[in-house]
Amino acid sequence: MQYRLRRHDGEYRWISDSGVPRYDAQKNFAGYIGSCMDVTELINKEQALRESEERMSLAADAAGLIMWTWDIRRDEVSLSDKDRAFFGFSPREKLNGDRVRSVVHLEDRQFVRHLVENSLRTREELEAEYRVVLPDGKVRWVTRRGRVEFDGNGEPICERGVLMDITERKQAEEKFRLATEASPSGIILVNDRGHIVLVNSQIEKLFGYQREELVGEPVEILMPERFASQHPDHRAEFVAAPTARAMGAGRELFARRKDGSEFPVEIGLNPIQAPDGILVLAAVVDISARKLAEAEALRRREELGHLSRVAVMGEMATSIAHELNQPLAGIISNASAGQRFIDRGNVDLGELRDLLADIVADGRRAGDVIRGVQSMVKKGAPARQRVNLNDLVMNVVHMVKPNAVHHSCEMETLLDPNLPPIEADPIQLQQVLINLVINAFDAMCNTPLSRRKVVIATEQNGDGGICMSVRDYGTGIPDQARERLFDHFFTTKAKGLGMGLGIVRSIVKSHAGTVAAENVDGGGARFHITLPASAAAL
Amino acid sequence: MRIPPKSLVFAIDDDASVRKGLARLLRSAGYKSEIFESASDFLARPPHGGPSCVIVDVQMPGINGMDLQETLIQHRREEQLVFITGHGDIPMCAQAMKAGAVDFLRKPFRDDELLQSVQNALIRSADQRRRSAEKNEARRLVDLLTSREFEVMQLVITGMLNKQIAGELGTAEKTVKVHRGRVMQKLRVTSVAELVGLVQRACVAPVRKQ
Repeated sequence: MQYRLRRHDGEYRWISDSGVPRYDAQKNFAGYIGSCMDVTELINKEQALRESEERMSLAADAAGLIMWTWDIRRDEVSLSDKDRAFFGFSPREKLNGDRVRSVVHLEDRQFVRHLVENSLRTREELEAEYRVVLPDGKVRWVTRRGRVEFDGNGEPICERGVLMDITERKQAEEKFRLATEASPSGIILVNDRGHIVLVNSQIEKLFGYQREELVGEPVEILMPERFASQHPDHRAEFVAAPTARAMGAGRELFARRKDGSEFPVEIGLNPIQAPDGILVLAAVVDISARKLAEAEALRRREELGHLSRVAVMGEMATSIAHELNQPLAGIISNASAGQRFIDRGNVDLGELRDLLADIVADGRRAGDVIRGVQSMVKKGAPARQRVNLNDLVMNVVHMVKPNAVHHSCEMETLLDPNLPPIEADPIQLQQVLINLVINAFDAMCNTPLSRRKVVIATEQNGDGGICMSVRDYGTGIPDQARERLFDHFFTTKAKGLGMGLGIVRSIVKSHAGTVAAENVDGGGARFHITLPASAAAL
Repeated sequence: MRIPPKSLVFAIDDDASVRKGLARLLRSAGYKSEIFESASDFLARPPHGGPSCVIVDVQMPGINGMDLQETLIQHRREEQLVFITGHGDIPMCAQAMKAGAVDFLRKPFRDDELLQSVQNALIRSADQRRRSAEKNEARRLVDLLTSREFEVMQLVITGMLNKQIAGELGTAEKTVKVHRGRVMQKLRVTSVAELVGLVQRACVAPVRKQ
């Protein structure tokens, strides 16, 4: 019997008292023999245990956990009434392993049986996700964690465990999987150690791997060697400051297929905060086709640029002929004069030397003209170099001079002597300027002779950039032409191709500059071209 | 090729190479020349008093070749023009030739081609100068006649006899004979044929028909 005693200090202690009656030989009662034991601690512990079990059960309930125990020796499963109801077991029904297993989804039953057998053999903790079918026929996903306890002989006594309904999570996962699979981009999920957690079928297609070959592998196997070595550092940086962004902004990225071949990619990175660390979701887009298209577009643009240069050359044919004929006239006159001096027998050697020097100079001059023409009509990639815009302007003024004379037009330059050099393709910029100047000439067909003037100005625009403008005194830009002014094949001229200003814009754009047009007070139009002092690469 | 005496060739071109080449070529062929960078520079120079040829570029800033031709015509100048051009503009060529240019050459021109044109121009210029000098001389002599003598002269060159002239003018045949003698003396001619030639050079209308 157990009862409480009041100790001298007033504290109550639980006593377990047991006694056995003693009888003498005559079978007379001789009193009790027994012992008293202070079991206060034990009682307290039991109570604590009971309370903790209640609390556990409450907590489990609140968390939607199902706690169960399987007495293996008696093949008896204990489950709370509430949980029995969940699975459709009656409160008094005797539950054994088979009965409990009957709620497992038919397709998963074999798997669960193996799992349990395995756990009994290896004595390891059991952990699995599978489906159960509820009385109403609904399928729910559960996760099961259990531990088997063994006696001293290594025989299994019981398994205790919890089940948790993870249907929502599974559905979310399935949605994620479906979304991932449906994505037109390749999707790779990488954990914070750089190992691949998940890939979609696009990745299989892009890289030529089966997903089983990828999951668990370091993500670096998808990169060419030259990128793979630095990648762990980049990964560490990303994990340290995880924000959604494009990978390797400004750099060209390449991916490596299973067969070792490479292809250009664009990769978007998204951090996903998961319980066990940061996962990185990488969206991989194969941009081979886009790169090809870009190359094709560039080629087309160059082709168009070339055509328009040829067209400009056509317009400038008179000018070029003139430019060549001048030195040729000089050469022939001088050479003929030399022959005559010699024939007459009174050669002044000093004079002859001057004469020959002039011939050489004129020859060079003709050569320069030809080179200029060749460079204008030459096909090929643009070449950047340091360009002094003022020199370029003076060159163009010289080139178009015969055209200016032909149009009875004055040319004026207002050049900033302190202009910094810029990185540019001189041929292309020359073309820009020639196109603008030729347009200016054309715009002044109906301007009185005394007012025909083209003004080319250069200046620094304060923020380190350079501004170049071409102003005419012509008809100005008609309102209806304003919007389409820089479009290819748009023209207001009777015989125009509509390429001049389009080319101007694409060239200026490729130099990271801008071009704008305005009508000026006092008549005519002005075209402004702004270029950064050091135009960035294409 | 004989160069007319006192000839002078002017070359106007805005291109220094062409100017220098022309100057040498002309000198090598024995011509005296002066070169100018622009037409206005040339016009600022007093006209040359001898056969002159002007080689001028069609396309020049300011006054171009065509403008110069017009200016020279307006001022009745006697310089003969040879145009040179780097363009070979056909309509301009036609216009220049119609207005009396000696030649219209495309650059680069052949030396003999140019020199031939220059020579032609100088000869034409010399002829014109001579004709013009003769005309001036004839007019000077004609101006010496009194109005009565002039009337008699006008009738003499139509081939009328003294008697007929006297009838025409209502005067005595003797008087006509005196006037006729003075005319021949003043105009320094000895025959009616010579008289007719001189009057033609002076561009005097032969008759005033009744």
